[in-house]
Amino acid sequence: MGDRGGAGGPRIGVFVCHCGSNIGGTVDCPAVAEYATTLENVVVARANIYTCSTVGQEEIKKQIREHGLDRIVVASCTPRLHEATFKRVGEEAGLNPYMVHMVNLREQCSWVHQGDKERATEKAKELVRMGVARARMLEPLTAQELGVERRVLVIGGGIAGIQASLDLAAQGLEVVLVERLPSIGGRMAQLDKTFPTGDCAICVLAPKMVEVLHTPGIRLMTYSEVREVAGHAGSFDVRIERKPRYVDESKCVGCGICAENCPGGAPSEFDMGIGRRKAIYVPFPQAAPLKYTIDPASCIHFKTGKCGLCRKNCPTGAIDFEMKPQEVRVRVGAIIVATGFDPYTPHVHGYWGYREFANVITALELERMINASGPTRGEVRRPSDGAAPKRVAFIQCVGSRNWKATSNKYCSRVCCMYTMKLAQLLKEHYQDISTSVYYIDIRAFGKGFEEFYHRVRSMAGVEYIRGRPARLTEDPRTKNITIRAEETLLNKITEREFDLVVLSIGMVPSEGTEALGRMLGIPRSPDGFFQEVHPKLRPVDTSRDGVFICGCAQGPKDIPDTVAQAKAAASSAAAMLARGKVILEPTTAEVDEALCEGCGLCASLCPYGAPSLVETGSGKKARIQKALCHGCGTCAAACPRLAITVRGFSDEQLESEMAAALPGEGEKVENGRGVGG
Amino acid sequence: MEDSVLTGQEHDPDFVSQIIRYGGHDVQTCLQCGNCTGVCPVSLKTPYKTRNLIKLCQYGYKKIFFSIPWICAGCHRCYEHCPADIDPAEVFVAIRHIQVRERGVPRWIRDNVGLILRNGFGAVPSDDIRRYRERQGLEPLPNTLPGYRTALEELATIFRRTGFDRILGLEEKK
Ligand SMILES: Cc1cc2nc3c(=O)[nH]c(=O)nc-3n(C[C@H](O)[C@H](O)[C@H](O)COP(=O)(O)OP(=O)(O)OC[C@H]3O[C@@H](n4cnc5c(N)ncnc54)[C@H](O)[C@@H]3O)c2cc1C
Ligand code: SF4
Ligand code: SF4
Ligand code: SF4
Ligand code: SF4
Repeated sequence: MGDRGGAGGPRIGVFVCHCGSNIGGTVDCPAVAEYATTLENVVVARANIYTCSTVGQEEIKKQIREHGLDRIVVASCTPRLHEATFKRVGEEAGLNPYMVHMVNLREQCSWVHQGDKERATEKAKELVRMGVARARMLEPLTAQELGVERRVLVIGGGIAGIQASLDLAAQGLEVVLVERLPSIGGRMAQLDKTFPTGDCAICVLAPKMVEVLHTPGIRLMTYSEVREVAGHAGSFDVRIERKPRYVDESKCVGCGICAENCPGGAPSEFDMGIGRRKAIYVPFPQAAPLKYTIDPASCIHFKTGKCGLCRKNCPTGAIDFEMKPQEVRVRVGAIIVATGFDPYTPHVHGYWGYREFANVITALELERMINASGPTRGEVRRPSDGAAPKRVAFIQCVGSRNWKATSNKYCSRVCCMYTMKLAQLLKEHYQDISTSVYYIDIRAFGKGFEEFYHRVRSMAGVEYIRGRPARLTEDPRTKNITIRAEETLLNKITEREFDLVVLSIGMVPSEGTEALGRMLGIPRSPDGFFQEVHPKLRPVDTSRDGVFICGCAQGPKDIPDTVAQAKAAASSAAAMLARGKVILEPTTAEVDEALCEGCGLCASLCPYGAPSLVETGSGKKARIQKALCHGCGTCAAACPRLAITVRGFSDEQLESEMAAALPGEGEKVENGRGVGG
Repeated sequence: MEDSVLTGQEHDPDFVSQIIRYGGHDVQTCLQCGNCTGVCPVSLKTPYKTRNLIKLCQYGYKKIFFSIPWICAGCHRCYEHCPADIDPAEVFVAIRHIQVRERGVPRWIRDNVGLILRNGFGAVPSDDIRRYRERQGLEPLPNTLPGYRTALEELATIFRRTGFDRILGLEEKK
């Protein structure tokens, strides 16, 4: 193969990959390589069986050195797979990494044209011709490095946020943990026991909550919310609002004398409205921090100006009715979102008489009732008359797996299992109770879960009924509930009477998820939960660099999976900060200020909020924050003044590629973008 | 439904897509939850269970539908409750279309429509009722037909113009 480089012109090497039979089975790779040598500026072309293998990589380096190549084209698979590999190979042989161009012969040619070798080979040649044209126009680019703040913001103090914070602190990183409620603990604190082990939830959770309080690296802000996030990976500027507790945290010792004397009150949110709390309260006895909070909506002082008993009684003078919201600003290098879930509210879609029939309750309400420190001191009671129920029914998949009444098409993944747990607990508390579970499918896929299912079914008085109930009716006198359902395995419609019906509610994204997503610039999946970049390989990353997700904020899951994800998110954030720097890809948008008219179209279209308008001596101009730009090209395509170029994807580069696709029509394509602009 | 063993001989692999072609939903996504059965007025009174019939569709047991009556009342309650967003009532309408195309109109439907054409009713008072009234000394039921003679003629015209009588094979019986 001759040296066609010519003096002074680019010196291009082309490497055509067989990818085993993936490409080689459909495309005649040696013929494509042979063809490449006929193209202008191509000095050498080779076909390899596996270009990404060590042998293939060495071959590229060897050719670069031997022929003094100044750029290469690798015609193989998608750049998503191996662009980094080949850039590194080029760099190791002395090339600027951005002088490496990839042509996709696999996904875009061989895989879609199997069985037509001749035409696939023709297309491969054309793709390579386009790639070579593009390669001629490549320019060396330099990635930028930025320093990082070794501090992480964790949003949400459920088990996910707690675990992530502890893991980060253990690695010597500073943590700012923001929880919007008066205490950390999340939903797990509301549970009685936990499947599959039967651990008491608060007994295993409380020590972790205490650890958060006593870990010097963790700055805990409860009753607080994140209001604004600016900046980029490595350096986010965060504004947090601390809502007024009307109790000075530094003075309150948690003695509770205030609450003993408080005449105000409201249904307890923590007890799902079954019990009551005072106007000055801690949500539950193990709250962390154990600091009281006044709820102005139920406080007599705030409503009438009178009372003030708590202030009179407080031995440390902690009550401060004048307290105002406070603003705190922190700079962090990474953010972990652990905002969890809300239980599905069944009356929204009128599910089975909830809030209509007294004796239809949700599983979370049952968790509170059966809990020894709950509002009924661990006694399960019928709301209608306070009697102990003898016949309990559970209805599965409430608010989940429904393509019609709700938009929650997904399986909530915990309700099959917590129902088993609750059935077992009921049986332990009351020997004479019987439990019937109406289900569609039972999902017991976790470690030890099927065994748990087996155990529960072996208990006397626990019965599984396959069928989704059709109708619930209430006896006006006894308030008992009759369930009509087709028991599908019997092929019969039955009616059975129960004293208490428990709805096994699923999970929905926690309130404010959408707004938080907008503030952070992270997308949600169709189910409404935050979306990971890749379900298998990048399960806790988001499309915004430096922002990670874990626990139920990412989707319904149980505690074991939540903790695993929390640890993963902590590790991903720590890994990023451990490098001490973030690399900014140079393939970002750039504004030619001489052309920019300051119309702001780019700023309104950019999905990452990278451009903004700034006042300059010559009027408003768009500026692009490189650290935020993903190089997607939206702004460049939209800019009516053609003022924006994405480096590595300039008009000249793309047009040369297009011109090569349409030989003979090159002249027309030359000013292609001019047509639209 | 049958106490014999299904061998796959009766299985029609095209049945599901045929149902879709005739306007029915994709029954493959049915969860077999049984909610439809529980709300179905026909399932409450007969051995036919909506869910079970949908399962037979999934299996491709086309034949069975040609031997059972067109029991669905078309109330669409099943649709209102189905979590999989399937409309069994529409599935059964699609199956009726298929049956008429492939097997013609079932005899009992033809007889029934014949009654309507003749009497203006699908169900005419039986002889039992007539005898019972007689025993009780009641007047015989009034014959309402004369008043509706014109209506019946219009009905016959509609049947003829739309070709419905041909589909039913009724034209020669008039
Ligand atoms: C009835 C029921 C029973 C269950 N039983 C079990 C069981 O036995 N075993 C098991 O393994 N799992 C069980 N689960 C699942 C378990 O509850 C979850 O896996 C776990 O709570 C998820 O933890 P998390 O930290 O992701 O979310 P959460 O527990 O929801 O915590 C999220 C936290 O973030 C806070 N937050 C939300 N938004 C913001 C914001 N914008 N700013 C600041 N803070 C915010 C919330 O106040 C909350 O404290 C059960 C679930 C239910 C509904
Ligand atoms: S002032 Fe408010 S919080 Fe304090 S005791 Fe009175 S009602 Fe309770
Ligand atoms: S976990 Fe079980 S009850 Fe919950 S949605 Fe999934 S299948 Fe239904
Ligand atoms: S290239 Fe994309 S990410 Fe970058 S500024 Fe333009 S629109 Fe935003
Ligand atoms: S209600 Fe829907 S999903 Fe359930 S058995 Fe009937 S058709 Fe299937």
